[in-house]
Parts: sequence; structure tokens; C-alpha cells
Amino acid sequence: MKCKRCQIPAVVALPSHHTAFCKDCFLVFARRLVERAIKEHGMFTFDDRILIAISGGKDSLALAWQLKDLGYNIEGLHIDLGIPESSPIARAYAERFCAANEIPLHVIETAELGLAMCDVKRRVKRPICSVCGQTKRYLFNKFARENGFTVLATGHNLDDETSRLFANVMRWDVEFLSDQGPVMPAEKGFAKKVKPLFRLTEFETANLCFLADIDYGYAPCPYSSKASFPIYKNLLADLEDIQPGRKIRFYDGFLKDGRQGFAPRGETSVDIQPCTTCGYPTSAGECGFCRLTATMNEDDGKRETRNVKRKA
Amino acid sequence: MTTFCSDILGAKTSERLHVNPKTYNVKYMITVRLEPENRELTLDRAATVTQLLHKLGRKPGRALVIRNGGLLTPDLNLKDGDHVIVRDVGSKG
Repeated sequence: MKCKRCQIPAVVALPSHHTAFCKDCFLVFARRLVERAIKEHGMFTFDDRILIAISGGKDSLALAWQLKDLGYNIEGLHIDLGIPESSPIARAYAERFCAANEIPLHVIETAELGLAMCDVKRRVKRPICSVCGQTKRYLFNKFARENGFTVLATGHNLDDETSRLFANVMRWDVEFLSDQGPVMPAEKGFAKKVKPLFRLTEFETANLCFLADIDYGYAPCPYSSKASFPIYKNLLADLEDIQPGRKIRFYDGFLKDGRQGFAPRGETSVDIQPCTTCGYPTSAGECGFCRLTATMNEDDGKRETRNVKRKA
Repeated sequence: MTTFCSDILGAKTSERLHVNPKTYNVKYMITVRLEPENRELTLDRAATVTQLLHKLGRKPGRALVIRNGGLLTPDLNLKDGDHVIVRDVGSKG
């Protein structure tokens, strides 16, 4: 198999693009996909201060590497979730990468906020992936707004976006379908959010990391076994094997022709107000993060009372 | 006479067993490290990357195949004694 551009032996085959590339040409290809996403959707400019959510996995590190390479003004934020089996490893990857690439990295430890995910999992009945996602979204948004960042960028790739779209379609979730896309504008207390990797598949970001010598963490979260998105990802991957290119056409078609059909109801049915405790935008009086914090503090209080009684 | 480890062991994939090629005169013994599990196994009769992935129950667009620090495309041949890494790319959370 030869590189389509320069005819030397290829190292990456991409059936969905009917092509194959050598190392240098693949890096050009990936850079152009990111540049196209940024330009087509007006994600940001070289004047923006961009905060990148860095988990230490392949997608967030590939995103940070690519935006740094393109010359954007970026900083990273890593959230240490307090999961003993995986958080120290993920944090070490994020810190090593940022130090090597001279990217300023900020770290928030949820344990310092009383929200170590290992404790939250024990005490909260909701699915831990949902609570963890909500906590991360809150902290990323708050940090971006309080520290003068104009854009919050995440490493969501094409597989993330299409599996989410597929899941939303299967539920006919009109609210989510109305605002799903690679750009969420800054409004009502939310920072502007963008997904510059939405044109790259997981396979392509993994290849990008390998060819750009990015050392990333690939150990899964120990709590993620019950997450539902991998089911949709696998179904779409099977479809992609039979019909290469199906995923990007599904997503592009949705952005071009599908999403607008859901917009009117999405705009009118949810009333966003500032949280009564912290001011974060929410559709329910007190936001989920404040309710979680209150629940954890309440449990701590009860535990302390029990310990005092035992000692007495 | 050439004997394949799958003939000896009655298994399509000799995943659990490391067969000594000298003892059994086995062809195309490929040592594979699966990531992220970090599990090592030995396979026979995998002459190409596509065949290797098929034996492992994986598809070309869902795993990186690495030999001697370089990426392999599905059409490439494997050699007896090759050591390869098969790294799944799907994030699980």
C-alpha cells in the first residue's frame, strides 16, 4: 500500500477516505482536518485564549499538540478525579506532555472539594459516569469563565459525536438534538465550547499520537464498564466497516440538514437560570454540582455524628 | 512434516499456550502483545496483518498494529518470529 500523495510506502490506511498515507502526509492530512473544522465553524482565532480540557488520553493530548503546532494561544486544565486506580496515571501523562510541549497546565483536584469520585461512587445512587461528567463540565466551565478564557476546547472526536448523535436519535431526544454540534456559543453563563477534532475518528487520533510521538494514557476508567456510549460506538463501527465513510456523512448531514428541524422546540422548552447557590447556569433552582456537594457534606456530617456517638 | 500449533492443540488461536517452534516445527509464530490489557500471546498461521487482526477478533480501523516501532497497514506480510503490538484505539471512558 502506497501513500496517495507521495507514493512511498504508507503507514496508515484510511478506507473511509479511500486513501492511505505515509507519516508526513498523514500529519498534514490530520492538520488540515482540524484547520477545516476550526474555519468552517468559526471556532476561534489566533486572538482567542483557549483552555483545553486535558484528561491525559489520546484525544485531548492530540488536540493540545495540534493547536500548539498551529500556533494558537492555549493552556490546559486537568481535573484529578480522585480515582486511586486511574487518576494518578492520567495526571502523570497530562503533566509530562504539557511540560515537554511547554503548555501551561492547571490542575483541579476534586478530592480537595470533597468530591473524590471513589467516595462519590460509594454514596451517590445516580450512575457515576453521569455524576462525573456533570462535575467535569461544571469545573471546566467555571475555570474558563473565571480565568478569562474565551473558548473551552475538548477532544471529542467523530466517534464520540456520532455515537452521541445515534443515542439521541434512538431516544428522539429533541433537546439534545437541537443543540448538538461542534460549537456551543457562549451564552447564559456558559463558556464557548468547541470540538476541533470532530472530523477525526478515534483511529485517526490514535495514529496522530503515535506518529507525533505523543505518549498517552490508554488505561480505561475502572468505573466505565456500564457506560452506554461504547454500545453505540461499536454499532456504528460495524456499519463503517461495511460502508466506509458512513460516520462522517451521518454527522455532516445532521449538521447541514437535520439539526435545524429540532431547533425551535429546543429554544423554548428549557428555562436556564443562575444557580441559587453558586450562580452557575441551570434548569433547576440549585445546580447539580451544588446539590452533589451538599449531599456529600451531609453524609460527612452524619458520619462524624456517628463517630462521636461511638466514641462516647 | 510441518505441524501447526492449532493442529496439535485443537484450537484456532493458541492464546493460552506458548508453543516452542523448535519442538513442533511450527510456521508463522507471531508473538503479540495486546494493549491496553498488556497480555501477551502467540499465534500461528497469520501471514498478513489482516489475518492477524481477524484471528484476534479485531478490525483494521479499530487497532494500531506496531512492529519494531513502526505502524503496519493491513496488507503487509508478517514474518515468522515477529513481535507485534496490537493496540485497541477505542476509548472506554
